[in-house]
Amino acid sequence: MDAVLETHDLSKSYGSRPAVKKLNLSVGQGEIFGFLGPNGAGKTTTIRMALGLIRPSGGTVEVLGQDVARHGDRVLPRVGALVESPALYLYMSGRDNLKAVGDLLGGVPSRRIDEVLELVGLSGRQRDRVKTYSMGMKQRLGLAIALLHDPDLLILDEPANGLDPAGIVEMRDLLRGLAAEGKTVFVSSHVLAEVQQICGRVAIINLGELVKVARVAELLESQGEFVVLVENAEAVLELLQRQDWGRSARMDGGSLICSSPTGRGRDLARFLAGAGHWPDSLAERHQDLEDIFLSLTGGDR
Amino acid sequence: MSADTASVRSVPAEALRSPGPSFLGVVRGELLKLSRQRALWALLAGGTLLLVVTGLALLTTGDLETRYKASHESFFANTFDILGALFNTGSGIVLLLSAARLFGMEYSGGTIRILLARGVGRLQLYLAKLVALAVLGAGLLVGFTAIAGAMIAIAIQSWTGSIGGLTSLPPVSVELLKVILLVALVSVGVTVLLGSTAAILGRSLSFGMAVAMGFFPADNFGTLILFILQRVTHNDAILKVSAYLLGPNLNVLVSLLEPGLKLRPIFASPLVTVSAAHAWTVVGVYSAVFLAGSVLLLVRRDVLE
Ligand SMILES: Nc1ncnc2c1ncn2[C@@H]1O[C@H](COP(=O)(O)OP(=O)(O)OP(=O)(O)O)[C@@H](O)[C@H]1O
Ligand SMILES: [Mg+2]
Repeated sequence: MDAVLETHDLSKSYGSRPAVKKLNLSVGQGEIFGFLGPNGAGKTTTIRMALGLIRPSGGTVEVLGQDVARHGDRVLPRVGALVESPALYLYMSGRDNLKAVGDLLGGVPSRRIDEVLELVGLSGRQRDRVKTYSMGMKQRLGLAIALLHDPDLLILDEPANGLDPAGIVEMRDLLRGLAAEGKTVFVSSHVLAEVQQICGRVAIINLGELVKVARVAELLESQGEFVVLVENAEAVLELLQRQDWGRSARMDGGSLICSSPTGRGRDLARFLAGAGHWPDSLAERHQDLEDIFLSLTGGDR
Repeated sequence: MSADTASVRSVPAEALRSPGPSFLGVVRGELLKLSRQRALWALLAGGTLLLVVTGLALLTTGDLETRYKASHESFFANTFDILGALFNTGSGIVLLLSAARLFGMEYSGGTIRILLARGVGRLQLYLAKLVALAVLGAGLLVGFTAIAGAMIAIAIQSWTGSIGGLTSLPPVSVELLKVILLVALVSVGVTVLLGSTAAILGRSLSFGMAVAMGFFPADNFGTLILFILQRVTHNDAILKVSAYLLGPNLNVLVSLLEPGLKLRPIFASPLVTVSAAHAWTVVGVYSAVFLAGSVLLLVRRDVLE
């Protein structure tokens, strides 16, 4: 898998306050890669460095195999980006906005402008000044601008901002379609359900530091635990913790949380019964990305 | 957003693949942004109307006709001088506003990030915007010259029955015209640099506009304040300060370059005698400072908009 976006010990401080600390990431071609972190974690700062907007205080970002700080002019034309809320020329029409951005790389055929407008569902309002657009329409135009040059890498910072549910579904399908074509999508988001549905891998950062990089599927399945209601929970806990497979057993709010010898509930039940502890109930504990995210970043529910 | 069209690209991928940013493309984009500014068109329409109305009012008073008939040379010297000052002021307002707006809006709207994130170089963007503004400046000069020339032609035609007086200008007047055009071009250049520097410095539309529009009134008015201060303190050194203000040196350039015509600048001039070389140096130093300051600020600062 060729790395399309790679950071090496990437760091940035604003004055003396570090915003990103020694970040190492590698995103391969065709991936939809989620970039998660609480407010102020350093997502936008990282994205700005990847786009050559701000200079790293240390380390490098490579995009499409080139150091952005030195050869941005070579690779950034192949990148489409949407950073924070979309920046647009409010006094111009949606179409003229696309034309102005198209001109940067020598102009795009008018058919391509029709096409991206169609793609984001703005064809009907393309002649209106952007000033008159709703927030979601501006977000759509921002996405159209990012897509205009048919980029190999799409870097999207909170792209779902302001989109209605239908818009979110459309965007999800759009990103999947692009990835299927071999394009790479790097997307930061707060909407974890969204990320869970479309991203293959995610990186979670907190306070500028990388906390975890993993496949979403792995993150979700590695937590195959059970919630057990049983008498003498303390004694059972001690018993479980003595087992090789049970070391992670713990009490959480009055219920016992533990894994099973095989991963299956029936084998956990059999073990407990065999030891004379018949459980009152035993339920698989489902965690979604949100739980994992909160436990990794120290947030409270 | 329709997913089914996501993978449909009617335009061949190669047509969208550019080896890199295109300078001419960036300039074209800047011209598009300028041309879509309604305020600019309104200003141009208003300026044209003002020029035509005042021009006609002046030319139809008998005074100018008598002057023309008495001496072509003195008529043209006066007329060209006034028109030159008028152009510098009018184009100055238009260009300062346009330059401050063209640069300032990228910061205020955050759009600078879409430009730079495409790989457009900071220096490249700066130069492209200057070129677009220079095109506007040249357009203003051509338009102004055409309108003013037509009005003078009509007046001379009505006074003498032919426009021969305008087509065969006295050599002195031709010489003056060249100097006025040169100074007009220099003034266009300095104004554009000033307006853009103000916007870049403040990274904002409103700051850029305010500083750009305040600069020339401030240094013209500053001359008056220096004059009053000198009267109060009797310290002649105060007057020397006025020799280093941009506006007064620009105002005095034409009369310094054509000393024989004994023209008196319409707007504030330095309170001490300065030479043409001095005025050129001051204008040159200001331009260089604006240019270097803008480039340095643009290239060195992170884009946090
Ligand atoms: N222009 C700036 N000047 C000073 N500090 C900044 C600036 N921009 C960001 N920071 C700091 O850098 C850190 C990371 O901010 P960043 O915007 O990258 O976070 P984020 O992950 O994008 O957050 P959010 O989810 O709220 O968008 C924060 O502590 C923030 O205060
Ligand atoms: Mg952010």
